[in-house]
Amino acid sequence: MPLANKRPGGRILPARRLTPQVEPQQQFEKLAQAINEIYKHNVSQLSFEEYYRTAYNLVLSKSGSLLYNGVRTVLETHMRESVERGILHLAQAADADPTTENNEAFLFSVRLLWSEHVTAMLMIKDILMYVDNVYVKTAHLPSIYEMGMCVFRDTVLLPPPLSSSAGNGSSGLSARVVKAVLRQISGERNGEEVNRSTLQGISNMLVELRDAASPTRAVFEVILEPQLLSESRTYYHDLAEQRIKSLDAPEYARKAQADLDAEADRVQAYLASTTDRLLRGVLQDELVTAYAPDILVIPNDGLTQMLDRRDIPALGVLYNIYAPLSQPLGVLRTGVMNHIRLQGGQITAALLAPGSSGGEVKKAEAASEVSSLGVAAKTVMALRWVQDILALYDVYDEFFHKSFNEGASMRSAINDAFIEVINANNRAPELLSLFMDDNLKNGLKRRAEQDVDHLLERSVLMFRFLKNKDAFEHYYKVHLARRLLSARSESDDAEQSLVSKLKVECGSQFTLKLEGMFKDMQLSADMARDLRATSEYAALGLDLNVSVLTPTFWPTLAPAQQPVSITSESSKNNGDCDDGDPTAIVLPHGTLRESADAFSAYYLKFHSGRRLTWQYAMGNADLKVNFGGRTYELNVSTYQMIILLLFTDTESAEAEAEAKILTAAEIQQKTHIPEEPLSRQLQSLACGKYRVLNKTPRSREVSPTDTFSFNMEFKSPQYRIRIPVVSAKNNVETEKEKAASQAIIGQERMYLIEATIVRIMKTRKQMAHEALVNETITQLSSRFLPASKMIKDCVGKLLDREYLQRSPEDPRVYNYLA
Amino acid sequence: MVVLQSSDGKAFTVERGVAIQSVLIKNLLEDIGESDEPIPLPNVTAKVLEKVIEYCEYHVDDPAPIQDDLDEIPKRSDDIEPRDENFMKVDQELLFEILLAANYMDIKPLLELGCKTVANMIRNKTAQEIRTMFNIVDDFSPEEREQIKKENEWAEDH
Repeated sequence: MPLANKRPGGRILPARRLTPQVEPQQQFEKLAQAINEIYKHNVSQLSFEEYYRTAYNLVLSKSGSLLYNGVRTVLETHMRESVERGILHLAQAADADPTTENNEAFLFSVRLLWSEHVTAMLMIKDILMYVDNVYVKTAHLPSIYEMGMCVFRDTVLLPPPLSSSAGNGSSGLSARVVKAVLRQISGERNGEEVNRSTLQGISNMLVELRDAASPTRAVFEVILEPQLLSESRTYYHDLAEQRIKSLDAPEYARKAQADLDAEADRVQAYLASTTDRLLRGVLQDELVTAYAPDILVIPNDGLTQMLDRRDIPALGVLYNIYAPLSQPLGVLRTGVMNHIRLQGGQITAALLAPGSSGGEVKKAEAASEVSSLGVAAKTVMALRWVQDILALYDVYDEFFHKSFNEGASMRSAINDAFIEVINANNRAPELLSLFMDDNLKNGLKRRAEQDVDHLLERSVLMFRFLKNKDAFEHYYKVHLARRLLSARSESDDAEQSLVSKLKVECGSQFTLKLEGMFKDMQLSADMARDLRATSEYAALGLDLNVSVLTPTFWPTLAPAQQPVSITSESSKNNGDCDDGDPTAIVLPHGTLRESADAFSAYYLKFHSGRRLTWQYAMGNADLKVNFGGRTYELNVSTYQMIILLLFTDTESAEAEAEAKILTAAEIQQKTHIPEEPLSRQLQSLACGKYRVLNKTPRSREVSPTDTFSFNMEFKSPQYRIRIPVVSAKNNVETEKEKAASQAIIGQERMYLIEATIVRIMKTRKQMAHEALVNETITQLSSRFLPASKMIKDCVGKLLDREYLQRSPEDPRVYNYLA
Repeated sequence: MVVLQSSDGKAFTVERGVAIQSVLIKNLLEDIGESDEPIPLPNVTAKVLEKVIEYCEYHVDDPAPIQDDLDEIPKRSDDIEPRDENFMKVDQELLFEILLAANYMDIKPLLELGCKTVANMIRNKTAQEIRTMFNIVDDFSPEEREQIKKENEWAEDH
């Protein structure tokens, strides 16, 4: 709507013409002149306001496009002249002789033009602000500043477009700039010094300028980066090729890391930050991924050597360059795992074939060698095995913490390898239990508290690695029982701590029985204390300590025995012998007999519904024995006590003449001790270190006709002597014992498998054989690894007992029968 | 302190914070640098410049306007502060001169205020009333008038 008012004297006056109506072109000339002055840094002479007003007037008088295009032309001309005047000859010099200095001079001149241009544009933009606010918006053109940037890009850098509309004769320096930059970088890589600040300026320029075709991307990204990456790739490719032939693994890794650091530093100093990731990728590809397996097996100093000599720093560097890349990391993991397998295998081989240097040993040979060793020696080797494995684990644990930066994948690699190694030795559960047993009995007092804790933790860790945890439970119970009953455990705290750690691992189901055993001991101790306070006790005349055991908790320790044991301490010498014991074993001594009865009576007062069955196999006794004038205190097993008491004066006069000489057969007849334990007891009394009895003949073997007599000549430097019996110590099992254990464990497993199958089928109703087997294995995996044959057998049994049936449609599928 | 000089030679001394509400003056000071020289404003008379300075002094502590909502949010014209409203109670000639000065000196809040004021003057008036108010000659030809009517039929109140 026209605002001009044609009537004179009206209220609105036309806009005042404060300057004469000058030709727009002339007005523009003023601005063009100003722009040139700005580029010459003659700013102080100018009147900002005047030029602002000029632009304002031009826009108002609808000469916006004249102004805009005119400005552009002025800028283009200026750029072109500057290049020809100050840059072109330097570009040519750098082309002809690409020394660092020439490149630098050329790049410096480009950068200088750029920064001058930026400074000038800021001022020009301000002067022409009215144009930006009003004209540019409606004409949908780039702002003055953006236009200035595009002019620079198109006039100075880019090669002339094929269909040139504006700017013919533009200089196309971009290719030369790129080349110069790359040459500088290459020079720096070779150790020359270059001017980083110039390079940074150039990079900033290229980053700020937008690409003409795709304005979301910077010119840097489009013309410099790709070439930079490809040149770097070639450079590092060749470098790696050389290095892999001449360097050892630690050195190679160190150099690679140094290169990565140097390039990262370079990017930070004078390249675009977006390049970092890409350039790093190139180095990783060429230096690491391409040669990942090869580096590890460099002869004379590869991965295995580094592991063997525990070169923690070198392993650390190696890990750092491998870890970010998934494929090399996988290769590293495999390498480490293989080495663990190798070393673990050597340790296990040493167990089976002592004295061999870990090479291949035939199983048959090894078995016969080993069986010729005594059980004690075997036990020592077994303990050594556990110790060596744990020591090896400590080594790798150190690697994990110090070299592998506690990376989760290395943790799992190490653990998996150890699981393999440990379970490759099928006696591992037994050996681990023996190890713990040994330490709990006598290892701990030498160690500090943290060591103890560390040891227990490591033991539990190895337990976690075991596949057949149920076997371990079996052995542990046996060993624990012996420890508790012979009061051999050194530290109750350690025992409890260990059990609670196992509980954390496996749940309370597992440790239920173990805890029951402890409870029994505790209750028995309490009862003994109470008993001691009573008057009946005083009448007994001997100090009786009875441990009452609940059958379900305790393993069967000796054949055909009910699990009640008696430990009795007798400080009386030579009491009466009494025949007629109602149990299988004859308790000869009158006082002993009475004590046992008294205890039973006392106990049954509190627990009337229970039945006590005495077990003499596990007890021990302290006897004061008089050997022809010298008195010694002997600690012997209950059986030994019973045997020895046979040799005391008896009431029956008829036996008196024979009292001191008895045959093995007679001893057996009188005591009813079964043959096998009897031989062992006799051996320990007559053939061992302490000859309490004389044996004729003097051989080790005990035959029924051998005779025994009391050794009045017995001497010993100590007053108190313990006569050891083989069965009291926890040892590596003999073949026979092992077979027995396996049978027990196997039996339990069958029950568990059957129960699991039934439970699975009950919920699923129908399942294919494969699926059933897999599900069973999964469910039982926390206790043991069942063989699929065993599962098949159990399925067969369940089919027989009609818990399951074969599906009529498909014989591989089973149905649950309710 | 900054010295502004109107077209008729009058000098006004104002605090820097007041002056730089005009983006023109702000850029000028940044690019050229501070000096004691007065800044000439040949486009603005003393009468108008005085009013503009008055506005700027009142609003010197206002927070900087947010650039974003320039085009997005539709503008209201009923949210003029009372003081500003009084400020704008001047004769039409001066009102339009203030608008032009605000435009020239690039003082967006003042420009906006001016436009709102004019908008309120126009609102709910017929075309003829507006012509009378602003003393505008109706110089459309009949054909033109017909054309315009057709184009704006949708906005007609029937």
